[in-house]
Amino acid sequence: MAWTHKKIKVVVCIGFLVCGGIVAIITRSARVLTFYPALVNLFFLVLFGHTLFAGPSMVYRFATLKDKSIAISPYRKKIAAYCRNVTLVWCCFFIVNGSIALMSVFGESLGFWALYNGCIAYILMGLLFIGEYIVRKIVQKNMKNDFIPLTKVRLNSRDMDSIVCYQGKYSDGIFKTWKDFAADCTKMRHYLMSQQVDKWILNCEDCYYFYVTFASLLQCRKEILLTANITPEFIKEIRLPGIGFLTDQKAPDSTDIAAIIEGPAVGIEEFPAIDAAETKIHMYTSGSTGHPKAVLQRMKEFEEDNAFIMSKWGDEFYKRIVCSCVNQHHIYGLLFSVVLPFASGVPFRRNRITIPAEFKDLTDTSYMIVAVPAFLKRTIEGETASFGLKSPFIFTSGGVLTPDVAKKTDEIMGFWPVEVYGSTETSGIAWRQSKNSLEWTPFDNAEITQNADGCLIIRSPYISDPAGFETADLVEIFPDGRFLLKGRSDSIVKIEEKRISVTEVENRLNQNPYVKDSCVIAMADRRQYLAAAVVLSAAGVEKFAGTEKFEINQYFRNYLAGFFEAVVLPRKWRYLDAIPQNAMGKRKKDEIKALFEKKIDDIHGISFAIKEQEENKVAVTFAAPESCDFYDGHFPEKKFLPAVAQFHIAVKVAEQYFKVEIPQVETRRIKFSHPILPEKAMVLTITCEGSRLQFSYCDETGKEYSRGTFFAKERV
Amino acid sequence: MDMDELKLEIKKIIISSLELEDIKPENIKDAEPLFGAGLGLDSIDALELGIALKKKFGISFSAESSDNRKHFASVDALAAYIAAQKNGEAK
Repeated sequence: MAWTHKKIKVVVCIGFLVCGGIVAIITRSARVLTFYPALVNLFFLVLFGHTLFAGPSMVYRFATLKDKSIAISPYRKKIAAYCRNVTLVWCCFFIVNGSIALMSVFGESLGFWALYNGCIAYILMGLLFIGEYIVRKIVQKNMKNDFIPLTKVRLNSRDMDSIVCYQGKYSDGIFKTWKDFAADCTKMRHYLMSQQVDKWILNCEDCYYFYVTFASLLQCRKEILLTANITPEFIKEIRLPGIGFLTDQKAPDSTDIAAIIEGPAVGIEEFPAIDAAETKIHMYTSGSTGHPKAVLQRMKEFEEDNAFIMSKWGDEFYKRIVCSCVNQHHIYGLLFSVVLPFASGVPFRRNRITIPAEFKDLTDTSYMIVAVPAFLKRTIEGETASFGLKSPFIFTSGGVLTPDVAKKTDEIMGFWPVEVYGSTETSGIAWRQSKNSLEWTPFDNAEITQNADGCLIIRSPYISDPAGFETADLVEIFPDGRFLLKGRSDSIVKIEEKRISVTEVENRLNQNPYVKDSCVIAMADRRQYLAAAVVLSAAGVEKFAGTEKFEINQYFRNYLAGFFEAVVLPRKWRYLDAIPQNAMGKRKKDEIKALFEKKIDDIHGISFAIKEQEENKVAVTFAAPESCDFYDGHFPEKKFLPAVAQFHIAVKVAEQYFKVEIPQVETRRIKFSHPILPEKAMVLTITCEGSRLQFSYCDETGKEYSRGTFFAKERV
Repeated sequence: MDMDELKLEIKKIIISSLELEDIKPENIKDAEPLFGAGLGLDSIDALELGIALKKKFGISFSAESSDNRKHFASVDALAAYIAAQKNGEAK
């Protein structure tokens, strides 16, 4: 509507001018015609002048009409201020020019009028245009010095002594400068170019070494596999033939980053250009399933995301020094603690903050703290006095920061954290500061919708798929576009046909004064049920001291029975000191699940691990040790697991798992394909149909060694 | 089988057939409700328990659900019902 109003005003003004012109022509009055230039100036003065008060200024409107990126530019405000000044200059010009035009009307000869209005005025206008163009280029150049994405940097982008990163606290004065960065990148590029490797796994704890290597890899057009996990098993899984491995962690069969960067100098060479759209960065999500999952990302989206964050919080960044406690191998840590500060020319800390106490030293200057909820929670736990930080700013992401932790963070650290909601696949989606509202405000360029299941779908420039990305987060979207997160859709489980959100059960448990934390998970063996791991609060520990576990279970089951149906009340309970979680604060679901899984007791010194379990099927893995007495007496010259032993093991496992009684077995009901040798890793699978049990022994590749059948007494 | 033995047997079956954790037969009170409050068993448990008791004692439960609810009310009620059924057979 506002636009239409403005349009009407413009149309009225133009109409007025045109009418004036027509009147002049019709009346053939030169007198009226001579006022015309002054009138035009007055018109433009009003048109431009009123935007100085109503804003945005007329010049800014023209500029954004031509270049849409200005609206999300990190210098949005600087550009707006500049445009306002230019608008002001034009207004002055219209006043002066209009006044002269007016005076020329009353002059003795029409000659001066014609000369000024027909020629001089246009020359003055042209000069103003040219002058403004020159000034604008200078201002733009100065602005560009502030935000230079990695893919656009040149050696002369910054002063050689400008600070890239610092060690300890900023005032310690231990810096790495632009010159160091350029020299170290040159070294790294020399090394990379000497290697015939196109893909590199990168893991580097030191943020400076990390970014030198990261930048060099991109400059050499290499693919990067970014991982925080460098356990040998994981690396073995992702390191296909022809992939290199760069780390500062002295891992086996890796290239030591520190050795290259601290090696002999090779001079300083210009940064090779990087095509942001052609970069390939594979990011491994920490994943709760335990299987590595990589998401392919590009610098193009990263840098657009950065530019957006800077457009919103740029002023906060430029006033501060960045320090982070977030791992830079994950997207949020990468973007906020390294890529963004580097591009903005804001110094970042070389080492992550790993112990909360480190914050207490950061009182020398104003810091921009990049954190995760789990870390903040541990930082403020048990603290009562303010750390005395100098006007800090805190970002957090990766999980929900509960308002009470946010409030206490404000008391202890002096800032109510700004939460950014996003994921590896989507980058940032929305933000909130729970002091002001629990609802999340989507970023300006993010389009938020819901799918049929109520999960959030996001479309934004940072997501290359035009269909957007479907998250697993349940949301409630309000008419104004803000939304509330209602838990993970994968937190919705079905227990014997009843839909239940485990988050909801956890929330109820956490509301109980005797509970400090809890984790509820869905289990399925003989039936589907929920299981709860609970951390008791101090009051809970006191209350339940000396109480039988059965009665504690009963207390919580009765408590939950006030909110939920009997079917979804947790059937198994574990009381822990803490819920197992990884360094990123994500819960280790596998580990928690294992607490509730059935166990198969050792049989003759053989241990078993349950691999698969269903109501009528169980698979266990084992390796019978050489010392196992099953081999005694049978074929002493060549040991293998005899039929009797294979039956015995299957029967004992079946009895424990299916709770059946097996009276006796006919050992001829077995078919051998291969002998099972000592120490061989085997998988025993047993299925139960009524009283008929079938078993098979296979190796890990699925090759069958034997199979057989036996019968149980009626299942009890 | 006297009544106390029967009740103990029923409790053992409840625990083993429903795979209840942390509960010993002595934790289950004879007169306490099995469903809703008390032990807090659910409808699936009722089905499983019915099957287990049928196998163990060879008794059948009526198709009338209101009767069943009465029989499954507590260990006392179950024991009384099973004993009555057994006596019926004996006669």
